[in-house]
Amino acid sequence: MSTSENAKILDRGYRKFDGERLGVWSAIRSTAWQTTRSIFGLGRKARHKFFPMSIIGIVYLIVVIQLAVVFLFGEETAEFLTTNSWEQVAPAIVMILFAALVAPDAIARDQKNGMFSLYMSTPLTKPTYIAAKTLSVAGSILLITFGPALLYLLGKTVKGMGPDGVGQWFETFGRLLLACVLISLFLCLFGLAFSCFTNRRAIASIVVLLAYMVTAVVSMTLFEETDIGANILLINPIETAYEFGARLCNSPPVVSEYGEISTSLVTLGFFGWFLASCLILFSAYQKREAI
Amino acid sequence: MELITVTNLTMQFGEQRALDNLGFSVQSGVTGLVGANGAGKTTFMSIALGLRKPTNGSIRVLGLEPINDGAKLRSLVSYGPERNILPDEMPAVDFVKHLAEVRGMPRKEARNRASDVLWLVGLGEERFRAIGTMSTGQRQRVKLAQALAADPKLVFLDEPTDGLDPLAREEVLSLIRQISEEYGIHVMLSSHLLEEVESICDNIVILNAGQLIAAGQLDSLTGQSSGLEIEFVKIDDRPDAIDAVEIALQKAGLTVIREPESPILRIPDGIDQTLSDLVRDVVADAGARLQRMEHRRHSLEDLILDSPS
Repeated sequence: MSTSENAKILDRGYRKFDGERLGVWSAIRSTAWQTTRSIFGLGRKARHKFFPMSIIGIVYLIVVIQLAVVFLFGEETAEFLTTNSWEQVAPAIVMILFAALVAPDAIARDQKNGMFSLYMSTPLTKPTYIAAKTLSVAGSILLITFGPALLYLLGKTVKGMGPDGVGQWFETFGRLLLACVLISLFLCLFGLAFSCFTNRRAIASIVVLLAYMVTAVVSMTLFEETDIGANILLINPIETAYEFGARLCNSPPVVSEYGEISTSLVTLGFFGWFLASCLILFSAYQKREAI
Repeated sequence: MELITVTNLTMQFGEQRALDNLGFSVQSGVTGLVGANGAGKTTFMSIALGLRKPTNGSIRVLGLEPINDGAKLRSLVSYGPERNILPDEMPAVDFVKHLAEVRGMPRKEARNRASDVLWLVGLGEERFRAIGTMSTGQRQRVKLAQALAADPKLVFLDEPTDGLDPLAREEVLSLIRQISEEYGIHVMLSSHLLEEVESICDNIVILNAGQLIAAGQLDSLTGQSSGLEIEFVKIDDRPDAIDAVEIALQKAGLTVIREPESPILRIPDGIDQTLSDLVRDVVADAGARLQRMEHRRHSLEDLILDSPS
């Protein structure tokens, strides 16, 4: 007679699957979730969690401290909550640092470890693969754009310092959400576009940061040293995106010089960079060998 | 049942023709796609998966056109890549589960199947180990497991025994044979190792520099007569006996192939009873002594070596 101690499963068998196979959306969802886990180092060693979690922690901590001060120390500290909620979105340098960190992680790793070939042998195609990666990276960036701003807006509302009336509150909320979604999408596409040419994550991150820094330095130098005018600042993609968000949320200009540029030009500049990032990304993947 | 039908398939990369006007069909079972490196095996697989549009011709896989029905086709087939690089930090079970989900399995089903299929390939106890800590043989099994987890109808395996020692190779090959025979999953495996293809395949497609050398059932291809082979025992007091046999057969109008001083004669013409009788008589007249006389069959190696290209 056998006992539980020496019982052993000899053959677990192989079952045919008779159910319905889920479609491409399921493939996108699963790939996006797996990528998000990888970005935040979930299921990986602690060192992989450190940078993304630190950046998220810092941007939320700033808002939490402001809210805590007002809620704990009363009306005399109320000026901590008088800024536009948009201004609580992480600063441009933090956003680009985060994008430069997460975008290469999302795609360079797949190139290096052969996952891209495997993904291409599934119902995913190159466009749906990019869609899955975009969903994951943009969603991650949304955590540092929309998250702190929403927390701040809610804190102001609870304290009675938010927008007047339900209608205005939802308008503020809607503008904030739209601005954060568009900017997160843009940062994601920008990060993916400039990091898709290599399978080395560190190099890809440096390329993304360089793309930002070179455009920032060139635009500011040209603005200060020539008579071209403030419109030249639009060649800086990240500040332009940030300014676009500020305009959408009726917030003061991020950099005072941007105040000289019309809203229609800022919008044009933002969507121009948006489109350029999409084109770079899609053309790079179009040429990429699947197997 | 025809799994793959290929008609006038051509793939051109600039000046280089990777596949040249191929035409064949692949039946059920295990099919070996054989050829040297650069023969066009991987290019063929990428076309069959709908990842590359052929320059000319058509292909149908499981009744679907890969280019037009790529996503649908790829939910029914799986692929095991040649490259032995997998996500190092991922536990094998997470990796297999994730790809099963991407191939259309519901989450719970994918989790159960990932576990089951890792047991099937002999990695049940190791399934929670990070892939990066596994041996080459274990990684090949993980690749096989991910290809099987979503219950495909057809699996493409690109060099599945690459980098394995002989024992591990035998185990992987018998596993492939098992999944075809016991679970009804058709397999197309590419390889440049003829003996491993001969040992497990039902069908064969041989490519050389993009051209089709042979395609069909292995038995019928290797079963084609390659003539008669006669080996003699060398006898010191009758040193000319083998020469005498050779001359007599040639006088009878037969083509005889013999390496200099070799005790083996090959008669490549088709054999029948008359030839057998003639050989018997000639050998008896010459006083030669037979070691063996056998109907020689084509090996895969012969098929490749005898091809005009």
